[in-house]
Amino acid sequence: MPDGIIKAVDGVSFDLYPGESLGIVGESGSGKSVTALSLLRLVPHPGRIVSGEVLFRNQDLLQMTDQEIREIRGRDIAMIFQDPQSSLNPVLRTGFQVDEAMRAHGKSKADAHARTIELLTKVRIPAAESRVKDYPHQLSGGMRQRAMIAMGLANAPSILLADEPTTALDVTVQAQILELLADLNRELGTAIVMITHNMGVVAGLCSRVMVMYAGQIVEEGPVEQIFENPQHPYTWSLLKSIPRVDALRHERLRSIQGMAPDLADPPAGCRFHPRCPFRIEECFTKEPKLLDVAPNQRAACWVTMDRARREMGADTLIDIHPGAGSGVRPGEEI
Amino acid sequence: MTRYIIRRLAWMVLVLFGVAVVTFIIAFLVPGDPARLYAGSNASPASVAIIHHQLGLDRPVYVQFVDYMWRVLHLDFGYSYRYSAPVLPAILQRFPATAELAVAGVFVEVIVGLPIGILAATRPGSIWDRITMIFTFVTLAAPPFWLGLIFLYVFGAVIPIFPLGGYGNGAPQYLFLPALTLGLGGAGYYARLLRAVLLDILPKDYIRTANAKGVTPGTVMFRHALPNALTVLITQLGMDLGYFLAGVVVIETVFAWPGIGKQAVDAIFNLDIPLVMGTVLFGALLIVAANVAVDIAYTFIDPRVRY
Repeated sequence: MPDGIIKAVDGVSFDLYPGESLGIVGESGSGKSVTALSLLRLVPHPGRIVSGEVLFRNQDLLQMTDQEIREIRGRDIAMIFQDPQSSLNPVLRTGFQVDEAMRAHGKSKADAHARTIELLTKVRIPAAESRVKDYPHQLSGGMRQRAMIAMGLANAPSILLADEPTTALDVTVQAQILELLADLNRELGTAIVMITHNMGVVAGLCSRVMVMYAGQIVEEGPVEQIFENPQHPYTWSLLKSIPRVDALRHERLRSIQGMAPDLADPPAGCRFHPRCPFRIEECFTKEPKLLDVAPNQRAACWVTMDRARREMGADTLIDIHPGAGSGVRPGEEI
Repeated sequence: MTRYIIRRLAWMVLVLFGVAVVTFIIAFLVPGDPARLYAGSNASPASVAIIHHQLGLDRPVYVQFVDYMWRVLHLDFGYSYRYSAPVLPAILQRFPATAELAVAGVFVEVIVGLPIGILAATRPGSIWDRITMIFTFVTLAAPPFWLGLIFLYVFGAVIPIFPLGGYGNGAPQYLFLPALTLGLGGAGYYARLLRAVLLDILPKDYIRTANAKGVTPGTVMFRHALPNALTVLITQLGMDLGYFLAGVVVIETVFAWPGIGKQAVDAIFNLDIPLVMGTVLFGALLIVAANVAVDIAYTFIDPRVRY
């Protein structure tokens, strides 16, 4: 690989069904956002999509002309971003920015304006008629995020890509916004791709989840199943690191040790092995494939948690430093 | 807002007072005796003394200073030695020619500079970017007097499509070359400025949002990116306009353009100190006023700015 090329996302492949809500989780830098941006060909310069396909209604979005992809953007597939502070244009009125999403796809000025007010009311912005004239800096963070969602929903898209839409908000507003997205998913049948680092958000909103680590999918499956019985040690560790109200008192909250790898020089073998408590010798050299581990559930792991529980005492492990379960210690040469 | 404007105007008066003090000191320090110049080389010391007295130059410096400042406060900039006429009407009479040239110069800066800047910023690193940046480098580096002379030579003498200087009673063909010379350097500067500002703006999140809505690249540039670049551009534009209005000395001289810049140069050679001082003060007034105008313009460009 030539110098300076980083594969932020590598070999990611997934399906999204109409009306579904899919969660993509992972740490910062795991490639969640780049995956979503790639779908609409919005990867920022100098990034580019080297290869792959994005099939939407049997058409490959990556092969479309600029004109064709523009017609898809915002109309069939809309995206809402994190940090509404920077994602709204500071010199344009909020209402105008929502109008524009519709006017770009052929709606008349009057129709768009009427619908903007309807949308802002729907996302529960109080006094929408007067708020449309406000500039983004005159709105609160929660209102800006709602305006952003209204913009995403303007054309009743088939797919809504939501990139950490609640990260910048306090928990009550966060809950309201998730509820709003869930309603829209139910009522309008909009398929939602929820990108987040927050497992709680996934639990509340999504039916299926895809866990990403270092630019790759490490596990995917139905949300309940994955939460109940994660098979990849990374997913398991992520779930272990969530505080739970119903947890037994002696159960410790565990953080995953180590840092996410540098994608300019990813680890050989399984990318999680330098941090994995259950790594075995294969993990250092051979890359695991995403394989079925249960009905509808796939994981990319040489060990999987079933075996880690059986043979490595995963459930009673207190300290989860790398190699803790398997006995393959850090720094050991293989 | 009103309070802000009043405060700015008060500051303006203070700044102009400072400028008046400095120009007086410089005029006092300038070597050469206007009285001797006007009396002629064969004049007797007695007649030089009479002229001294007539011009008020035999009074103590502090008296001259207080007298000058008092008259400036009443918008009386004194009498030109050479024309034996009040300075202010002399400046105002020449000012329309300068204003015409200044506005045309700023127009050239914008018309040439902005499209180049946009072109370069939308395709950074491309051949267009390189060609245009070399062009702007050349126009920025070329001294205006040299550029003016080259234009005069090429388009006035070799291919005589434009007159060789002068005002021509306001005929547009007389304005063309001086405006081009005046604007071209600035155009290069604007192209580079806009390119830099746009390269900073285009990766912003709100541009990505606009793209995600499916609007055309033209809309992204002109509705989303450019208005955010305006604050920077207007600042520069306002200062340029003020600076040009204050007198474009070199270009007016090269093209024999009868503006206040040319008049000031003539006044310097004639040791016509009141006219020089008057022009400096007048120019300072325009530059300061342009700055205030720019600050007020911000509130219209950027809704976040409120005074």
